Amino acid sequence: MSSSLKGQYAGFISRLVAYSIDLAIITVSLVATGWLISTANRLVNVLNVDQSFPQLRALFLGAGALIFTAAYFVLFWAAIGQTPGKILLGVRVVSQNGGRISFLQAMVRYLGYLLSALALFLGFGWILIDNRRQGWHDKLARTFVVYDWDARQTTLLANRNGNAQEGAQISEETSA
Amino acid sequence: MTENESITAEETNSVEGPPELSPTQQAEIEEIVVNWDMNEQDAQTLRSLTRLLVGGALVSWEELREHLMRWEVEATQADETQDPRQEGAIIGSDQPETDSEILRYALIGAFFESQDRWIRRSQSAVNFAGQVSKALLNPVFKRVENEPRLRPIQTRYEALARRGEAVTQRWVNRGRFEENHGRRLARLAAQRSFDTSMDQLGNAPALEDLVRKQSAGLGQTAIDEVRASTVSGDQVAEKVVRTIFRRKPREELNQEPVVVDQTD
Repeated sequence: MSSSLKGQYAGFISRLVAYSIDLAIITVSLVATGWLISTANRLVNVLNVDQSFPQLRALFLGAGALIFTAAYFVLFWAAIGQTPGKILLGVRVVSQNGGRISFLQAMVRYLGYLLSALALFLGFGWILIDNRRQGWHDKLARTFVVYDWDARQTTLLANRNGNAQEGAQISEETSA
Repeated sequence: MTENESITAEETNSVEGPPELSPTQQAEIEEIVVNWDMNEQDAQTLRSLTRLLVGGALVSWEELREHLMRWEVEATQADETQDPRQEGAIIGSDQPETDSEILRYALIGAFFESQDRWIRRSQSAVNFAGQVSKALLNPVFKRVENEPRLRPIQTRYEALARRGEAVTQRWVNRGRFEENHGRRLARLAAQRSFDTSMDQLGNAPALEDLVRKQSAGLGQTAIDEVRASTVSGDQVAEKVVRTIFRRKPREELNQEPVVVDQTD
């Protein structure tokens, strides 16, 4: 078994999987909320906006979804440094001193998310080549994402990496 | 008092006999002895218990025999499908047989041969006894039947035989009823005992606790597996991207990792 990576910068795949889980949670929540609102609307028939102002309804729903998504990420980051997806994957957003990020940092980070996505997702891909595994949103908000659990690679891959490193060492020694 | 004196005193007391019972204890024992008379309820209980034992034995035997036959067929089929060249694999080793193994095989073989011989001989003995009794007793019976002076004895014997047949027939009827009833009783008892056991197990707090812990452990193990896979994925993805961009593979991150705040 490889050594623990706890406290080290979390990589792209872990963060992508955590983000996907968060997106799934948000989608399910929005769909459930939309269904509840539409059902309530049909039952009570008080807010008769769907027939009268379809554009306004779409705008309202879109804004609501955006606000909900922003609130989800910002509040979770600021409150506990982890969203449910990050909790499941064992990664945490931290500030430069390793502590919890502020509300402002969380807001900036979320805006950075939008920026990273708008630039053809290059801001997210930056995690793969940055030495501290920071995306653009991390750099903007001066935050890091680290492993919050006793992170280890799977035994098979760790062994393969270990063998590769040993092989490299041996070849270096031989050539020297 | 010295130790020897105390022992002597104890021995003396034990020789004198059991300690006297109080009048209350004496009365209780007398009441138990006097009133020990089996009433109808006790008799019914005893009958039910006997039926349960008989039925249980029959059902268990039938189940065992049925399972044995099925296992025997399966084992025989497995033997037939086994490659003869791999016969050594049945024993579990390709190593040459040791003396102790050969001795063990000899003993097992002798046991099975003795059993087969005993079965054959017992069958032969039964057949022989039947033939002997037929050969010896048939002439006697014929003579008795044909002898007029023995007619009164014969009449009494026939009456006795008729009574015996009636009793036997009654036993057969009773046995038929008791056997069927006993089987039903045994099956019912087994089913109810199983249900009760399951109910008790299902409501046992210790078992619930154990299942909860096991489930939590399984869930945590699954999560750890997913996490470990994604950590490995992190390394692989970076290697691939760095290879594409012709960057040097990174063994470790350049900067010291930040310290995780554990107070959250």
